[in-house]
Amino acid sequence: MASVFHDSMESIQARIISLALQDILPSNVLILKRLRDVESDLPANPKYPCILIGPVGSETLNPNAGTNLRDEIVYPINVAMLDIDNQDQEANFDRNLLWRERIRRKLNNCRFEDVPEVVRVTVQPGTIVDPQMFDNNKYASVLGIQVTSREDRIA
Amino acid sequence: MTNYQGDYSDDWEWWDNTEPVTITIKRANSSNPIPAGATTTNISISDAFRGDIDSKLTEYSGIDIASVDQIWSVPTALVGANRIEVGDILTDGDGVVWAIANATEVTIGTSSLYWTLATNKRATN
Repeated sequence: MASVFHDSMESIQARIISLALQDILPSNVLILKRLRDVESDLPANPKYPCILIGPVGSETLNPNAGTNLRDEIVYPINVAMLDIDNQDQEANFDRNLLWRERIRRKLNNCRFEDVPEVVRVTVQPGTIVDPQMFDNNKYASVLGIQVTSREDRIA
Repeated sequence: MTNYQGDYSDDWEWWDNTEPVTITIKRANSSNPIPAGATTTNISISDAFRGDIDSKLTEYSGIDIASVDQIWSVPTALVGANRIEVGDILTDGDGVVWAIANATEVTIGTSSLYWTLATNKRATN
C-alpha cells in the first residue's frame, strides 16, 4: 500500500516527464525527501538542468472541509527547476520560462487518474528567478503544488 | 593628530603565498552600448591572495542550493584605475572561474591598499 502523498509526487513526476521539456532528461526529474542541490543527490552526466520534486512544510487539515465520511487533506509539494546560469542575462531565459509555463498548464486543476483520493491539484507560483540564486550562478525557479485529497478514516 | 600622509598602497609587496589571477570586467560603452556587445577587459594580476573557501547551502523557497564561496584580496595597485563591480569575474591560475558577489576597496585614509572580493565558484555540469 502506497501513501497518497508519494503517489501524488510520482504522478507529478510522470506528468512532467511526459511534457518532454527541452533539455530535461527523464532521469533528471527526481523525487527527493529534502529538496537540495548537492552533488550526491543529483544525477550524473549531466547534473543540470534538473527538476526536483519534494514535500515542503507540512500538510493542511481543515476541519470544516471534507465530507461526512472522508477528511480533506492538502499535501504541499514543491517543483523546483534548476540549471547552471552563471549570471548570463540572456541564455535559456525563454526555455526556462516555457518549462514553468508548461508545468503549470499541465498540473493546475488537473486530476490524478492514478491517485483516486485526489480531488484537486492547484499550482501556486513561487519566485520566477530568485536574485540570490542568480548571484550564486544558478537558475532556480519554483512552483508550489497543492494536492487536495479526500481520504477515508481508518476504523 | 599629525599631518603625516603615509602611503600604504605598496603593502601588498610583503604578502606571502600569492598567486596570479585574471579579473575580467565587462562594461557597455558608447562603442558597444548594449550589454551583449559590451567591451571585455582582462586585468592580469600577478599577486592575489586567496582567503577562506566556504562550501555551503543557501535556503530558497524550500530548496537548499549549494555554492562554493571564496574570498580574494587583490592589490589596488595592480588593478589600476579600473573599478571592480558585482558581476565581474576572477579566473584563478587553475582556470577556475569565480563570480564576484561583493567587492570592497580597503583604504587607509587616502591610501588604497587592496580589494577584498567575495566570490562564488561558477557552476559546472
